[in-house]
Amino acid sequence: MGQQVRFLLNGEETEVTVADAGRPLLEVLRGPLGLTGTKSGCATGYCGACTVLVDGAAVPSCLLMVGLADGREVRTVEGLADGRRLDPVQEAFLSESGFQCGFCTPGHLMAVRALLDQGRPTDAQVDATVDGNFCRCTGYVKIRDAVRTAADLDEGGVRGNA
Amino acid sequence: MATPDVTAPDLTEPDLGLAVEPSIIGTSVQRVDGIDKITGRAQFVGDVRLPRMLYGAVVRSPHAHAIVKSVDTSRARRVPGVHAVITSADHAHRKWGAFRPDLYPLAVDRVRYVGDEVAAVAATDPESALRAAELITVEYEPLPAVLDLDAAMADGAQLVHDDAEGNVAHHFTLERGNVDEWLARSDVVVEGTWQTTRQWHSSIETIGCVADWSPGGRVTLWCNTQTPFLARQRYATALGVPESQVRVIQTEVGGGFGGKSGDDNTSVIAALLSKVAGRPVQLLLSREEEFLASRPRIPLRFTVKLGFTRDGLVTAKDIAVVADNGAYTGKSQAVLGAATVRHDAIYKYKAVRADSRLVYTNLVPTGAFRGFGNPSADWAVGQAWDLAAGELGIDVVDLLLRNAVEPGWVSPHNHRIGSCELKQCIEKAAELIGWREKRANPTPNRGLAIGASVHVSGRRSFGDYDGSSAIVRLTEDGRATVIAGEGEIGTGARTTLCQIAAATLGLSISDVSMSTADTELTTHALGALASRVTYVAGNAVREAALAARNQLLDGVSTLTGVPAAELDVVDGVLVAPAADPDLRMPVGAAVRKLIYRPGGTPIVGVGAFDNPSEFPDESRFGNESGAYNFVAEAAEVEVDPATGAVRVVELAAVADCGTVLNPALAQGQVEGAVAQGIGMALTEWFDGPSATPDRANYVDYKLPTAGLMPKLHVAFADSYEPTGPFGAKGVGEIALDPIPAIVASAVADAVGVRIHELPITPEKVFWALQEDE
Amino acid sequence: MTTVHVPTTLASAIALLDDGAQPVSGGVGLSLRRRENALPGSLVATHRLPQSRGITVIDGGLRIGAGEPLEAVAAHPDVRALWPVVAEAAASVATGRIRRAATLGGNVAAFDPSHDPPVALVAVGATARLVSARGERTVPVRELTEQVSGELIVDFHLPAPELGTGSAYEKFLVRGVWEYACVSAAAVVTPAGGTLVVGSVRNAPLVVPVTDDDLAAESASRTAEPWSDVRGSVAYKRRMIAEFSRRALRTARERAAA
Repeated sequence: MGQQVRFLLNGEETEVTVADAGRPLLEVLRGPLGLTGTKSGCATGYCGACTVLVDGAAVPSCLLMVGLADGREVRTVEGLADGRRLDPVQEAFLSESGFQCGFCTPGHLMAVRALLDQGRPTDAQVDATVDGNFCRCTGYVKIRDAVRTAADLDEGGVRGNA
Repeated sequence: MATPDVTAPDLTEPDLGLAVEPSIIGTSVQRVDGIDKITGRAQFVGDVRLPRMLYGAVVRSPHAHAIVKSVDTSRARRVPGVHAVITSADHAHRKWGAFRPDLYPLAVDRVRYVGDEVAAVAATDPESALRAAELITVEYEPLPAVLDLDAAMADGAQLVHDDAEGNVAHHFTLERGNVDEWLARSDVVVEGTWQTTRQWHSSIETIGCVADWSPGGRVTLWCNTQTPFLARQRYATALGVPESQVRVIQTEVGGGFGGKSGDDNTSVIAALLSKVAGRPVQLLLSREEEFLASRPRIPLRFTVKLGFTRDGLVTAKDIAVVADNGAYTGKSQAVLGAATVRHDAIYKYKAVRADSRLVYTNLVPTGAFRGFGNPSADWAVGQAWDLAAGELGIDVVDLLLRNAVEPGWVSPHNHRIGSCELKQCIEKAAELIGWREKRANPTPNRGLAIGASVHVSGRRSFGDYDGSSAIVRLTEDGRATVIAGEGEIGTGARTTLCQIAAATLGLSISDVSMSTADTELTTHALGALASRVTYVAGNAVREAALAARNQLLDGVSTLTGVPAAELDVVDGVLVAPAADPDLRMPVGAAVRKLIYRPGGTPIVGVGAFDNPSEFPDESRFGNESGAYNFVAEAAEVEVDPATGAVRVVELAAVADCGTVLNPALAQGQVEGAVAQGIGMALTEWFDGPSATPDRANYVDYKLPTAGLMPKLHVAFADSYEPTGPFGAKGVGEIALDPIPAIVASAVADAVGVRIHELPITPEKVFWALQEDE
Repeated sequence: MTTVHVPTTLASAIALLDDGAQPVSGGVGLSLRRRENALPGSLVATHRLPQSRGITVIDGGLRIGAGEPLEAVAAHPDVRALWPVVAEAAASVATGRIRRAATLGGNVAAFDPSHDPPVALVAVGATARLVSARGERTVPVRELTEQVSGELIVDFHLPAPELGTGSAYEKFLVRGVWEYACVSAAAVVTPAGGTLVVGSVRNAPLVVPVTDDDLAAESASRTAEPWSDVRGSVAYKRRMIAEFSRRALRTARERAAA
C-alpha cells in the first residue's frame, strides 16, 4: 500500500513510499528521510522555519504535500554546503552572527539561497525575503547584515543588476 | 526601509591582572556552536531519535473550569501502534510548582483552564498518537469560570483552587519611608492605572522532551530546558521519585526567554508515558499547544501615584498591583515580586509603598518572560514618569538625569548599586536619536519618548544561593574543556564562557570547547535565568580556569625549575620572558609531561562563585544581586491618525552591562529584546477574554517581522563591574523593559492620546483620537 | 490516506476528476486545514497541465492560468501594467514563500472571504473558465461561489481596460506585519464611473458602483458586513473600510490620470 514519490533530493535521486501522499513534505523529510535540519515551527506556513527549495523556489515544506513534490528538485539545508565547503550564505551567517538559537536559521539560509540564485538582490528584496521568516532571537538586524554579506560573497550571483 | 545602524561599542581596557589576550575579550569571536547551527547538524529535542521511540499526544480540557467526571480511554487503547494511555490514575498525585505547588501532572478531578492536561497517549507515530488522543472520551461537568481579574476578585467569586481564599495566590505589602508624608509635601503628584496583557515567548522551537524511563527505575529526560538542574528538582517532585532517579540532559534549545524554565507539564507527561510504555517517548508541543501549555508573561494591573518637588526631584511612589496568575502559579509569584520592587533601583525614591496581589483566574497559567515583571512595571511607572515631566514642564531627558541612581546608591529595598552608568546611557540614547534636534524641529504625527530600566545579574531566588561552579580541564593536546551545567539557550553563553576560559588560560578561542549541560556529568548550575550566566557562571568559569592555570604553572615550575610567578601562557605556549627567554613549551606538551610520569597529575581546575547578594525577606527587602545592569532607550514613533496605526521609526538603545565581552552577542541580545518589546507593544495579542488564545496560532498571534524593525542604534556604556568576569554584567533581558512604555509615551507625544492598556492597537489609538476631537 | 495524481494532460486530469478526485494546485489551503478537514482520498495536481499555466495578453486583456503561483501573477509586467489591482492583490497575500506555493486558481477556489485576489478579480470583471467531463463553462468570478464536483478552474480572463482606466488594491495590515486583512478594497475607475469592491466581509465581496468616490466609500462602509476579530471590531472595520476605499479610489484615479 502506498504511493511512490520520486524527486531529486539534494542532488540525489530519491524514492520514498508514503501511505499518505497528502502528508507535508516536511514530515517526510524529517521522518523517513532522516533530514532533521529542516525545522517545524508552526505547521501552518507562517513562521518559515521549514523553508526548502523546490525547483529553486523557497517554499514552506509544511504546506507542500509530498505528492506534489513528485518529479521535482528539492534542496534542504543538508544540501547547502558543497562537501566540506560552506555555501557563501552559511559563511555570511557565521561571520555576521546572523543567528542565535539557530532554530529558524535553516529556513533563512534556504530562502536567502533562492534569493541570491536570482542575482544580486536589492535592499527591498532582501527585506521581503527576511520578512517571511520569524526569528524570535535576533530582531533581524544581523540576519539582514548576513544577507548583504552573502550577496557580496556569492560568486554565483549575477552582479550589478540592482 | 530604514537600515539598522549598529554603533560600535566603547570598550575600556581595565587592568585585568592577567596576561589576557586582548583579541579574545571584547571581540566578536565566531560562535563555538556556529557550524552546527548553520548546517542543520545542531540537535534540537525534536531531532532526537532513540531506538523504539514513541511519540506522545496530550488530551486537553476544552472547558475553562469543570469537574472531570470520567475519562474513558478504551477506544484509544485499541488504536494500532498505541503503547501507553495515561490519566491521573498513573501519577503520584503530587502537586508541584516553583513556589506554590498547585499543579498536577494530569488533572485530578478538576480542570481549571482551556488547555489543562487531562490524559496522554504514546504511539509508534505522531499521527496514531493524535488519533488515539481524539478517541479518549472525557465527561465534564462545567463549573462557573472566572475569566478576568475583576471576576476573580469579586465577592463570592467561584474559587479556582479551594485553598486560595478570594482567589488570592499570594499577597504582600511593603512600605519603606513615609509615603503619605512625602506625597503631602510634593508639589506635583501624578497618578494613573495601567494594564498589561499576556505575551507568549513564542520561541520558534516549541517546548519538548524525550523521556526514557528504564526498568531499573531511572528516567533520563532530554529537554530543551533553560534550567536543567532546577527542572530535575521539580520534575522529580511531580513524578514522586527522588531527584537521584532523574537525569536531565539539555539538547540544543531553540529560544527560551523564560518560557523553557520548567514550569509546565510537558516533560513530566513524557516521563509518565515512557514509564507506562517501557519505551522512550518524544513529546513535542504543537504551536497551538504551546499557546495553551506554556507560561506566558503575566498580565499586571498597576495603579501608580508618583510625587515630585517643583524642581523635579522624585519624592515617593505608591503602587497597587494585581496580577492575573492564570490557573496555576509557576514562577508568577516571583515575577510579581520583581515587578513590585526592582524598578525602585532606577530612580532615587525617598519612600515607596506597594500592595501586590496574585490572583487566580481560569485562564492560561503565566510565568517567567524576559524582563521578569520589569517591562510591565515600566509600562506603568515609566509612563507615570513621562506624565510627570509634562506636568512639571521639564524635558523628560532632564527629569530622568536628575533622578537616575548612581554608583553607591542604596535603593529603599537595599539594592546596593555598584557599577552604574545609567546617566551615561540616558545621555547617549538621547544623543543617538537626535533628541534635542528633533525636539526643536517637531514633525507632525511623530513623537519622542525616553525611558530607563534596571535588571539584576542573577538573583537569589531558590534558597540562599545564587552561585555556579565549573570545571576546566586542560587536555593532552593543549586544549581546554569547560564542564559546566549552565547550558546554552541560543544567546551564545557557551561562546562567552569559552572566551572567558580562553582569555584566562592564554589559549585561542578555537582551542576551548564546552560540555552540554547534564545533571549527571556536569557541575551544578541554576541555568539561564535572571540574566545571570555571564556574571555568575562567567566568574565560576574564570575561577576554574585560574585554578587550571595555576596547576599548570606550578607543574611546569617543578619540571623546569622556573618559578611559577615567572611563567605565563601566551597563544597556547608557556613562556618565561624574564627568567628564561628561551623557554617555549606548548601547553599540550606540558600537560603530557605532567601526566605521563610516575604519580602523574592531570590538570583539572575547579571554580565556584556565589553571587555577592542577599536573600530578600518576605517583603522583598534585600540586595538581590551583586551587580545591576541598566538601559536607557529612546524611541520616535509615527502615528497615522486616519487609522490609529503606530510605527516605531527610530530607536536608540544604550545598555550598561559592564565590559562587553563579545560585541556581536551583546548587540544581539539588545536587538532581539527590542524586537520583543515592539511585539509586546504593538503586534502580539489574541482576541477574546483577557487574551485567551482562540485561534491559537500565528494566524492570530503576530510576532514582529523584519519589516517592523525601526532604524536602530545600539550602543553600550563605557562601564566596568569590579565583581564581574573581566568587568562584565548581565545583558540578556534589560533591553526589552522600557520599550512598551516609551512607545506609548511617544504616541502620546505624537498625537496627544495616552494608551493605558496593552497592546497599543490601532483601534485603541483611533477611538481615543475620535474622543479627543 | 491520500493519493496525489500528477497528470500532464488536461484529458487525463478531467478523467480523474470525473472519477471523484478533487483538484489541487498549490495545496496550501488544503494542507492548512488538514487537521480539521481530512484531505480527499484522491487529488489531481494541476501544475503540470499546460492549459493552467501561462500569463498572456489577449485582445488587450489578460489570460492567467489558474495554476500560476501568486508570486508570478504579482510580478508579471503585463499584469502590473494592465491591471495593477490584480498584481497588488496577489502581492499582498502572506509572504513570498507562500505566494510561490499558492496559485491564483487555488486561492479563488478556496472561497475564503479573507482572500485578496478574488476581490481584485471581481473588481476588474474577470471570468473563470471551468472544464469538466461535461464540457466547459465560463463564469464571472463574481458569480463563482462554489466549485462543482468534477470541475477544474483552468484559467481566468481579464477584460481589456478601457482607455482612461485606473485600478488599485489596498489591504490594511492592522499590525504592520503580514496577515489576513483587517479590511481590503479594490478600486477600478473609468472615465464613466467605476467599481469599488470590499473584501474580508461576510458573504461575497461587496460590490459598489462608483459615481462619486466619497459617496461610494461611505456606502461601502455602511453596507459591508465585516466581522469582529483580533484585527478589529465591526465599528472600527466600518471606519477603515471607508478609509481604505478612499485610498484605493484615490490611487486608481491617479493612475487613470497618468
